[in-house]
Amino acid sequence: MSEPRYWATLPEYERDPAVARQCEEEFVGRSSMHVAGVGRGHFEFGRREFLQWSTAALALAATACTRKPLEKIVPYAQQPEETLPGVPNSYASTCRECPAGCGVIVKTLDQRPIKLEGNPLHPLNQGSLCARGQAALLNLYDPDRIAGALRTNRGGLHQPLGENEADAALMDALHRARPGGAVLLTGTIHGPARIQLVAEFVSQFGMRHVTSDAFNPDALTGAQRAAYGTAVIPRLLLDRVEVLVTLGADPLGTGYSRQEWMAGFGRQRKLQRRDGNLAMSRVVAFEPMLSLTGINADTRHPVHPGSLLPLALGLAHQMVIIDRHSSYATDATVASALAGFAPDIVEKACALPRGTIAALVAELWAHKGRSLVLGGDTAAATGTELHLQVVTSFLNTVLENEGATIEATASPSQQTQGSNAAMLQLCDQMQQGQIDVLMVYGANPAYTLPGDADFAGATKRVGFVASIAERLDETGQLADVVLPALHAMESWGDAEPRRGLFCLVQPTIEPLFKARSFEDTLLSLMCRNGKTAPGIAAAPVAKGNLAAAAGVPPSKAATPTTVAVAAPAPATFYDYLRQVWNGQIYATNQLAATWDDFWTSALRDGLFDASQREPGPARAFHVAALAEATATLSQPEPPTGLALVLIAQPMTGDGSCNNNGLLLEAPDPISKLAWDNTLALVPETARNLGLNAGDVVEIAVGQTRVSAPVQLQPGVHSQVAVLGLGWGRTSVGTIGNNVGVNAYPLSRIVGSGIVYAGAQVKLVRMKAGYALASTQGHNYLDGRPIVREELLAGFLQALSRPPAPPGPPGLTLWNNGGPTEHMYPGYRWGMTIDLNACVGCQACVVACSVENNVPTVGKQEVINGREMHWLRIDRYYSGSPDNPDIVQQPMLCQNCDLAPCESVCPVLATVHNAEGLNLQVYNRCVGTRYCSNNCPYKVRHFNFYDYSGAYADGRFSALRGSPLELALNPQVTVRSKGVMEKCTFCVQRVNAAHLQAETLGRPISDGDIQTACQQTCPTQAIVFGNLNDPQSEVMRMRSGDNAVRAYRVLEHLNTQPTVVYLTRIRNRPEPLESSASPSANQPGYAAASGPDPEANA
Amino acid sequence: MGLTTRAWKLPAATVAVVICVAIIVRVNGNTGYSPVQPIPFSHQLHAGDHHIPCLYCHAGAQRSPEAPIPALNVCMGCHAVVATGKPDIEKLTAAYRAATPIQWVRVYDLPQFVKFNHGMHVDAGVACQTCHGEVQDMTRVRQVRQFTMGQCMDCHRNNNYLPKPSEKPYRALAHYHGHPVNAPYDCNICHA
Repeated sequence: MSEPRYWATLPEYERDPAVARQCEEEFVGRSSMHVAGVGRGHFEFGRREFLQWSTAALALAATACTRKPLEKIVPYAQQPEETLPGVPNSYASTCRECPAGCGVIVKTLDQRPIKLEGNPLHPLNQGSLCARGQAALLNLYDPDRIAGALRTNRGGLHQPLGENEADAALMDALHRARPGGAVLLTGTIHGPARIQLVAEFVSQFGMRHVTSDAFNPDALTGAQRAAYGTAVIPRLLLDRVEVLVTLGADPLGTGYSRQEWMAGFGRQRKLQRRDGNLAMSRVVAFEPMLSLTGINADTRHPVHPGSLLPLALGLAHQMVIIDRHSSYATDATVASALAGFAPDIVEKACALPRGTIAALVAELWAHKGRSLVLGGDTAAATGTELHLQVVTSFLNTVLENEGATIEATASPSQQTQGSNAAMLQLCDQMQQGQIDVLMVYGANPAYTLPGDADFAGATKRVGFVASIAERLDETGQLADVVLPALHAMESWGDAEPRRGLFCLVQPTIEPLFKARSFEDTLLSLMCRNGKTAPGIAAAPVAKGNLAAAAGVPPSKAATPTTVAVAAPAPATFYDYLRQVWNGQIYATNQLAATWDDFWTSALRDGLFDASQREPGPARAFHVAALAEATATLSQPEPPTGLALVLIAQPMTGDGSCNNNGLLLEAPDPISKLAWDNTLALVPETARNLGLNAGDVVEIAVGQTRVSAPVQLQPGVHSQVAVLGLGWGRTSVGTIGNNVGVNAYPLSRIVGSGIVYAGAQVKLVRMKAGYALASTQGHNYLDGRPIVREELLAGFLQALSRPPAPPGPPGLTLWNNGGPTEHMYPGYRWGMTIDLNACVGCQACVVACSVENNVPTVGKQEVINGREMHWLRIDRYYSGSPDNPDIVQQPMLCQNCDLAPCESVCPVLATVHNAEGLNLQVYNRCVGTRYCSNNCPYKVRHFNFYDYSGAYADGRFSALRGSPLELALNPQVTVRSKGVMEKCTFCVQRVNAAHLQAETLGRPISDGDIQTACQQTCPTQAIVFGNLNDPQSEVMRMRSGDNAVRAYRVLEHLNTQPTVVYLTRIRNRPEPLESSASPSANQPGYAAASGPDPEANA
Repeated sequence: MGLTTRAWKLPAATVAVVICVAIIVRVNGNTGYSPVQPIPFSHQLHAGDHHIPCLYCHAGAQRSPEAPIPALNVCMGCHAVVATGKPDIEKLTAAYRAATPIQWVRVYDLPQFVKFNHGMHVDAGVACQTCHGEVQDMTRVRQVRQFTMGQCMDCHRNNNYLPKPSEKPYRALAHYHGHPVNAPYDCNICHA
């Protein structure tokens, strides 16, 4: 079978001679030389330099050749019991970067957080953490956070204001408000104490509470109400899903519980024995854009956003009316609702191959109760998304997934609770002058609402606007008073992401700026009002099981007794939190432990889980909802014109964390672009419109016009233009301001909902030549077999074949081809990466940067090919640009046994150690860059600039003393200018494990060392361990059934990498796209199996 | 013109080199550095005359990469009752009561690319005096060794031996590998 031809960029696909030339070069364009024009003076000293500093540097205290400066050592006056200088402490908490409520472990050193990791005890994220969670550290230390209350006077003067004065002003306005004229607007809030506090606050001041995030689940809740009678957010059990069908949905990229789902998804993607047979899940995606879920699908069909609903109905028609496997087959309502959506009509209208629907439905039937059909998200929000949700609910009910892979009765999700309808209603009331006071916290309507909503105009008719936020955001600019809030890592709090799963947020650092948490602000206002929190003060407080407290063992203890004790009015939210947890959780759960023990264990674990894992019973589907969904629909028709689709993107999400260089520089998983959002068009459409990559076009929807650069994105539907939301902030901070374009104004209000997709759009070319910073295309495969992919059927055949005999030993510089000189008597570290499980979410990239102090370099340096990410995810296409297959591959230092870098270093700065690690010794490195030149994997990165601020007169030294310095990991050397760096397999963690093992007098056991990338990986695609131990996970993963899949990249070069990849298996009947014309006559395009140009060199 | 420039360039370069060498020698041989401390704490009195073990106060050195200077509450463990009338102890007591830490002047300093771990060395039975000199004889702490990589390596190279089973538990590792314990000298041990 001929191998598919893989290509990384469109020029490579089109065999652009420039790419062939670049293949001859070692590095992309200017990455290896000094770039004229970016020296001092040409660079504006502003955002760029500042962001470079954002991951920069501890001052190198004692530089050579100078008398060392006088340094002070300041020990504690009273050393806290659990701290020991130099020894990290970890605390369990909950991430609040988005409302998903993932558990985190905050690693602190000398009282400051230096790393966030997922909490392995947490049932949602199960130890993983997404890129945004990893990058939260920079949000904590962000110098652009406000350091005290401000009187903003609606965008005018920003005056510092005392906390008292701000409180007084707000209190005064609240007292003067008409009944019902005061509104508290927040993002999603969950957690019993926070919910109760908000409820009490609102009732005490006669306010109304409106919840609205950037993206709200109106369609989902509306459909749940119509289909099942209650408006709940269902919980998806992706770890039980064997066939996943998405209709515009992106559960992995932007879902409301994506960490949980990625974990389940990854489990099913790995090859496993199911009833004795090797199996893996199958994923089919129908979508207008290219989503993170879509690039991981086995089969993917680009469809117009308007076709998603007919397509869902076509699936239902095939299932119920043609196959007649379901009890709904005899239902007249269903029959009439689905009558017009015969599969052949739908397939024709959606331009799908004939038989697609029947084949897919057959697979779904075969996995009844173990499949899932997901519709929705912004790509489907054409105004009919509620109907789509109703139909997908119907499909899941028919397939008996309801109550099996979808759960909404036992412990439904509470992770997204906002409502567009309520938000838009509030806007109307504001316009009509009915609102006197608006308090905003955790929401940024001035940025996220459609242009039509005119939130800015509406605030002018509100008497008093107060914003409670960490920073002066777009909404704060419209406010009268801005009250500072604390970051989650500085405050107490709680969360309840699904019913019964109670999580705690605990502070891990003293507040960095003069600020107060949102909850304490509410409490303080309530106290100022002269009343204490009524519900709390009168509530009985369970003092715990008296018998247990008296020393009776828990097993013999009687049921807990509740003793009414008049609790003092809580002065701080910490007291309030404890009282609510005592009253609502401890007292109601009949626990044998004392209250103090309960609290201590909840604090240690970060959670108390009383939720139900198993799904509750299936709910009955109201068929009337289905009739309603199709009532206004006629026969499906092929779409016309060019439709705009606005989507959330995995890295930036809603845009709330955009002042974060780590997130902006980590490239989008699909486009591989950093520092910009772009209008993505499929190449053919762009050609028809006369547009090229880098053209700036004006996008006109109704009266709203936005200019954005064009990017050619293979795989997008030909009649769709895709633009990412969550960019173009104007008031977020020095780093994130004016990065990308704000697409929210292009969304529209239709009825009581917001429409993100399907608007007919006109594109006008404004100018050309906008530079895009892509991280893909700096190096090319050049026909070498770097990624491997196979069909499941082919792989199963290969399993039964005898293994290929080992080839002749490769040539080495050492021992004349004999055994290598390296002996590894003790441990030998290596890594196995399962390409089946890697979804490309980029969490590992950000985790690596945080752990290893990897600098952020800024857009221009990314364009120059000098990004510093030690670990990158390479994305390769195969097939035609209209709908390519995509393979992703994490690429990091391969820690080769016969490392080409080691043999060329003139100063022995990169050497091998006795455990198989390829070390980089920064203080020896003189920066010849020979190693990078000789590295076939291109994983070494050179510090062209003094990102560390080590030089007192360097470009970044002016920002010394910024709180960002505190985000650096003191356990890893901060590199300075002129030094080469690369992935070290987190050698500091290897060292720490050695120390721990030797102290305990035992060998390092499997799992003691988790590299930062492995630790945060939601799908456990990366495993690190001891290659000398055949029982270790890293060895088991590459043996047995997987032995056939295991391969090393560029094995023929005989570099003997210790990183082994497992071939990506594609689970679909159709063959892989094969390289039709490898046209070997063109330079630089050797056939995949042909000789490698480097092998001859 | 060019000739004139070249004429003074050579002596200038020579002087520069001499100055650089002088500075390097002085920095690397930072021995003898003995700054005045805010409180004239005498190791001679405490560790020498009174035989207080080093780890009694620097307890963190056993478990931490650092050898932390004791917190004020450790000092006050004795000085709440011992020598309370002396002026410096009064100063100490006042600082403790006011919860204002004493700002000691750092004597030993390693560059940030060196990750030295006190705990491992204490655990391996290396005496504090091996690196820090006879501190118990010093009234004011003075750096006596150079703290250069060569000195580290000398020690690490010369400490290869097969430990006895009765030795400290960490030596179990040696038996696991079945080879003598080396003080390791892979680069990553210190340069992470």
